Amino acid sequence: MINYKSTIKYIVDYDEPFASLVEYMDQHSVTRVPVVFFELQVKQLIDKITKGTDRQIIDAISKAYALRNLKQHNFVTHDESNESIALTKFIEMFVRNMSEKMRVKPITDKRFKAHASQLTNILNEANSYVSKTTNDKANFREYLQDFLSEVKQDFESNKRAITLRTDNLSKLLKSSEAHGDQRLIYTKIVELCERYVEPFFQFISHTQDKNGFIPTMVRLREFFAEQEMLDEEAEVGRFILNFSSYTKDIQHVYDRINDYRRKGQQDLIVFNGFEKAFNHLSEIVMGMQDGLLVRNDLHNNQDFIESYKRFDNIKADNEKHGNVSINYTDLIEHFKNIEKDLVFSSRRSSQNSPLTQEINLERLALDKESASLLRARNQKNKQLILKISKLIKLHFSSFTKLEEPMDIIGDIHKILSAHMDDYRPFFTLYAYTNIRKKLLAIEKQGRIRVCVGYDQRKTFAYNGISYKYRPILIQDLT
Amino acid sequence: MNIEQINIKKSIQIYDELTKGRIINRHIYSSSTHSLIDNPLFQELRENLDIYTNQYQMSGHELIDDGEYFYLIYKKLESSTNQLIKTKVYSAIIVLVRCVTHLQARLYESIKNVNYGIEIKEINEIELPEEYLLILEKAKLGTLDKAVEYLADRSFLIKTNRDKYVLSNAGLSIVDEIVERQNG
Repeated sequence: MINYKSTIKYIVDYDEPFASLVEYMDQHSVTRVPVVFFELQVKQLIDKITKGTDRQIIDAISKAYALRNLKQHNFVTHDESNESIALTKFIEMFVRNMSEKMRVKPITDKRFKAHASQLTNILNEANSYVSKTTNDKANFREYLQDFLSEVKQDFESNKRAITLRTDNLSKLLKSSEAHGDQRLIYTKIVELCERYVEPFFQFISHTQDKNGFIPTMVRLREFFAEQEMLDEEAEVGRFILNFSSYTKDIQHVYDRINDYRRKGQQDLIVFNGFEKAFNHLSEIVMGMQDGLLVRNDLHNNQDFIESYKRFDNIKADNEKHGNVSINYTDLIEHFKNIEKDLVFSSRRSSQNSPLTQEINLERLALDKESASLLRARNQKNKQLILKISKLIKLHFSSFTKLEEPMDIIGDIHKILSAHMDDYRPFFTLYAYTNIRKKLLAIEKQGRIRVCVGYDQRKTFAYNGISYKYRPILIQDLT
Repeated sequence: MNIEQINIKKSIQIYDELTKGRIINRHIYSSSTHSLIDNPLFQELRENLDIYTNQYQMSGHELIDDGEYFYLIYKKLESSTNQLIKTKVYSAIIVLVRCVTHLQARLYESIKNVNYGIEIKEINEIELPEEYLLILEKAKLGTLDKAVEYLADRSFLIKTNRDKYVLSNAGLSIVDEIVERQNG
């Protein structure tokens, strides 16, 4: 243990452990910090200063930051149930004021409202002042002085805190070029304004109301005057006078931050709104991925259409065809004319419809013939494909027990040319491309290895023509 | 109702714009001052609204006055379930604003203020995630730059002399509606 003064001295000179504690409290929005965390900060500080620092000083720092010592001097409170510590109000303010980064925190409206209600209670109690005993009178005066001092301190420190934070945030906003950073700063501005500045401003604005803070203070001053307590009367009088400057200063800060807040708030509202709108739209679109071929576009989706009210049936550009501006009545009439011309009046040309055309019977017969030829050719192709598939299945279903690498393209050629009367070299290519996937799958299973002979060329001959190809070699791994 | 007070030159321009499915906004962009100025066509419509309402009613349309802008709708298609243009406009704005505020992490101000705006060039540089592409496809918009051009063609976006686009009065009102619906 070391004495109070020395402890304070070492805390001032080596404030890192307490500064880290306050930072932890702010980051996690808590008032208690695990003892382990605190001890770790002390250890880190000692490790950092070990080199080049006198052994005696290191010992003194260890003693100053010993939990027992801090508890003894009322710097921390220790909760043994969950092994956590909390800084006492005095040391927290002390550390915050020392550190540029984390200055004094603004005060929430709860505290000001509590002050106002406390003031009303004080005034009520003052009415029975005359009937109090000497001791009670002394206690009351002491309580009153503490109260005034606390209120003054709160108002002063809060004014400083919000002014400083507003300054810092506006400076940051001006210096940040990235829009992502700006949105983050705006979020902080909105939070500062809504949590601290606006409630304080509202409180200050209502202090002049009939039962507001200042008229109550005036009544308190009158009470002191009646009791001929001149010091107290003067103290309250000074407080009331100073108060007008608070109003002015806070009004200024409030106006400034409110401009940013409006801008930032609008941005955040739009940002959040569009996050939701986009996700909603995305869900609708994903829901449309059901494989249906009809009415599968957004413009037929009633969920989406009904989500928004404006621009129903908005006019389309008349110059573009094929959109909703189409005249269905005209279209039906037009089709009727075509139908008449083609079916019922095929031998005469229509005078009315620009789309009619005389039917050419010879052309129709030719078309019919070519259609039947096409059908026959398709039929033949189908049979050919079936035949190739059967041959491939029969000869290449298994690649086991290969004694030497198999040249798959050459082998396909041999099999197909031997078994098909109408063989063409193209069939080999077709068959290979069809079993390539199967080969890769078997290779993945580790049963074979497929090698491409990039630097090799092989040939097969058919009808006196040589066909050169790059061999694909299959080796059995089993 | 006095037909003589109609400015024929403006009336022809209004007809041309509205029948092409475009919006007549309260403000238009002035390249000489690089700012938004009052739209003379909007003023003409506002001052002679009864006459113009009649004119379009007689051709099977309805002139819609939304305060900050005018547009035409088909009167005869009151119960149409197919809303190609509406869905195109809304989905294009949703995709565009989300892209600007989320993918580009820019402030809403950048698509609202004529001093900023968005460029086709920078839009083309964005690698859009799959969900954006799917929405653009299902809304028949194609690509994001095409969607921007579509909105500009219909006067939901204004093109500045710096080849940048910002939201027009109609575009802003859609953003407000979307935000109101989602946050309401």
